[in-house]
Amino acid sequence: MTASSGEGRTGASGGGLPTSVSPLDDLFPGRLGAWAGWVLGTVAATVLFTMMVLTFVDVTGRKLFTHPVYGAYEITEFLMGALIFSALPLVTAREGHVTIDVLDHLLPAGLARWQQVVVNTISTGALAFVAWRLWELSTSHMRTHEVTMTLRIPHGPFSRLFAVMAALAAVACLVIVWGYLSGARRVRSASAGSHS
Amino acid sequence: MTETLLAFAGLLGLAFARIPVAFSMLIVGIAGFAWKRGIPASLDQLAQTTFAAGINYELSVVPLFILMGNLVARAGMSQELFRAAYAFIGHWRGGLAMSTVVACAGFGAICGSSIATAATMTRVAYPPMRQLGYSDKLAASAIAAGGTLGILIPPSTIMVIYGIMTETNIGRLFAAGVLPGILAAFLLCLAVRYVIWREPQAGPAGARSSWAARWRALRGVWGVVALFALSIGGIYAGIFTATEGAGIGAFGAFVFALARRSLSWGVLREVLLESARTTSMLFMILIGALVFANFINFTTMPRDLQHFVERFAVHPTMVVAAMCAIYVILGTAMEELSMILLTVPVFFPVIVSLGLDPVWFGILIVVVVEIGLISPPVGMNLFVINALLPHVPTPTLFRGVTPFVVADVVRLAILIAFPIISLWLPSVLRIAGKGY
Repeated sequence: MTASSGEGRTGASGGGLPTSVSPLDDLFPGRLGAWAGWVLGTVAATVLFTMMVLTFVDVTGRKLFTHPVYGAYEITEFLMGALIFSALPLVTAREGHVTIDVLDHLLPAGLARWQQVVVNTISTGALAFVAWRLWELSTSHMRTHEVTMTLRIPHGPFSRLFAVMAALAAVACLVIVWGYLSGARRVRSASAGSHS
Repeated sequence: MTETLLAFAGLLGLAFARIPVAFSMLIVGIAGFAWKRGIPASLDQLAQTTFAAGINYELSVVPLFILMGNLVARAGMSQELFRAAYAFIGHWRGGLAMSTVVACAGFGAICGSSIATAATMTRVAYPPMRQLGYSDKLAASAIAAGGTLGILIPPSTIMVIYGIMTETNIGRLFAAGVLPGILAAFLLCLAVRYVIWREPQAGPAGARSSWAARWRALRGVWGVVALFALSIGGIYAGIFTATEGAGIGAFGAFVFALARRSLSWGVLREVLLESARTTSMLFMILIGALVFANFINFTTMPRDLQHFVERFAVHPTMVVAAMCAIYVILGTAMEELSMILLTVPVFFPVIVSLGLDPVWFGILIVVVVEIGLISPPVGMNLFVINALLPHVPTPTLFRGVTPFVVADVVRLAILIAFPIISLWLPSVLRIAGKGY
C-alpha cells in the first residue's frame, strides 16, 4: 500500500531540511496549476496554524483567566472543514490517497498505464459525485438559512466551499487521467506514504 | 449476512484493483445504502455524513496531534533521547539498537505517528549504528520496529480515531497505552538480544559512558518531558480534554521548534501543509468508512455476529483472540487504518455485548496496527525505511524484522491474557471527558 511518492518524500524530510517549491504541490501542470496549488497550500497551512493558536488561546484563557474565546468551539468546527477540503485537491493532485498496490506486480507492464486511467476515472467520478451532493446540500442550507447556535455562522457558504473544493479535486483527478492517456505521466512504482 | 459479505468482497475487490481505499468504501457504501434504503436516502446520507464529519470539533484533535508530531520531528528532539538512552545502555552488545528502541518509546510520548517516529529516528540512530559496524539488517529493522511505538505510547492518531468512532474516552485510551508501551519496548529489546545471540557481529558494543555523562545526557531530555507533562500530563490529570491537550501540545511543540531555530517560514509552511495533507487524506478514509458503516448498520451483520458468538457460547477471550488473529493476517496485506475503520462497526458491538472493556480492545487494536506496520509485504514503516535508506535491500529488511514481529505477537498474546496491564493505569487516574 502506498500514499503518493510525494507524501513519502515530505514525510521523510523531517530533519529541518530545506524545502523548495516542488512540482508535486501544483494542482495541475502549468502556471495556473502552480498558482492554484500555492494558494490552496497557503490557505491550508494558515487555517491549521490558526486552529492551533485558537485552541491554545482558548484553553489557556479558560483555565488561567476563566475567560475562553467566545465561540471558539464553532470557529474550530469550520476551520476543520476548511482545512480538510482545501487540502483535498492537493492530496488528489499528487495522487496522495491511500491505495493498496500489493497486486500491482501481477499486472502486465503494458496494462499498468490503463489501470491508472481506469482507477483515476473512477476517482474523478467519486469526487464529482461528492461535489454534486455537497452542492445540493449547500443549496438547501442557503434556502433554509441554517446557522450555528452561538455565533450564528451560516452553514451555506461553507458547504458551498466544500463542494467547490471537491469539484476542484475532481478536476485535478481528471487532469491526471489525461496525463496517463497522453503519456505525460508515468506509472510510479511502490513508495512510502504518510499517516498513522 | 450474504449481502454484507458481498459488500465486503466488492470493497476489497475495488481496493485491491488500486482504487483509493476511501473511494472504494464510499462507492460500496453509497450503493449498499441505496439498495437498503432507496436512492434519495443514500444521496442524503452521503452529503450529511460528509458535511458532519468535516465540521466536527472533537475531530480537531487529529490535525493538532499530527502537527505536534511533525513539529517535534523537525525540532530534532529525538537526538537528545537517543543520546540519553545510549549513555545508559549503549555499552551493551546490541546496545545501540536497544537505545534506538528506548528513544523511540520516549519520542512516542510526544509524537502520535509511527511514521514520523521511524523517519526522525532513522536520521538520528542509523548513522551511529553504521559507524559502529552494525549490520544494515539489524539497524534498519530496529528502527522500523521501534517506530511503531509512536502510536502505542500516547498521543496516538489511531487511538484518537478509534475513540471518536466508538465513543471511547480518549484520555483513558491514552492512559491505557503507557504500560503496554513499556512492555513493548522491553520485548523489542529482547528481540535485539536474540538477534545478537544468533549473530554476535551484527551489533557490537559501544563505549561505556561515565555517570557524570549519563546525568548530563538525561538532563538533555527535559524538553520532551516538559512537552509530555504539559500535553498528555494535563489530559491524565483531568485538566484538559484530549482536544485541549492536543492544542496545548501542538503550540508547545511550535515554541520548542522556534526556540531551536529549526523553523524558517518555508519550513513552517511545509510542516503545516504536510500535516494538512495527512489530515485531509485521513478524513477522506474516515468519511468513506462512515458512509460504509451507515450501510453496514442497516444490515443484519453486526447482530448476526453477536448471535453467532452467543449461540456457540465461545469464551470472550477466544472471540477477542480470533478478531486479533484476523487483524494480524489482514494487516500483512492491507492498509491498517482502513482495516480498523472497516471492521470496527462490525466487531465493536460484539465486544460491548460480551461485556469487554472498549479501552482494552482499543489497545489491542493499536497493537495489531503496529504489527501490520512492520509485517511484509505491506507495512508502512518498512516503506518509510525503504524510502530513507534506499541502499538497504527490501528482502534484507523483510528478514530483519521477523524477530520483532514475533516479539510483537508475543506482546499481543500477553495483553490479551492480562487485560490489567492495559486497564490498571486508566483505573487509577481521574480523566475528564465523556465516553466509556
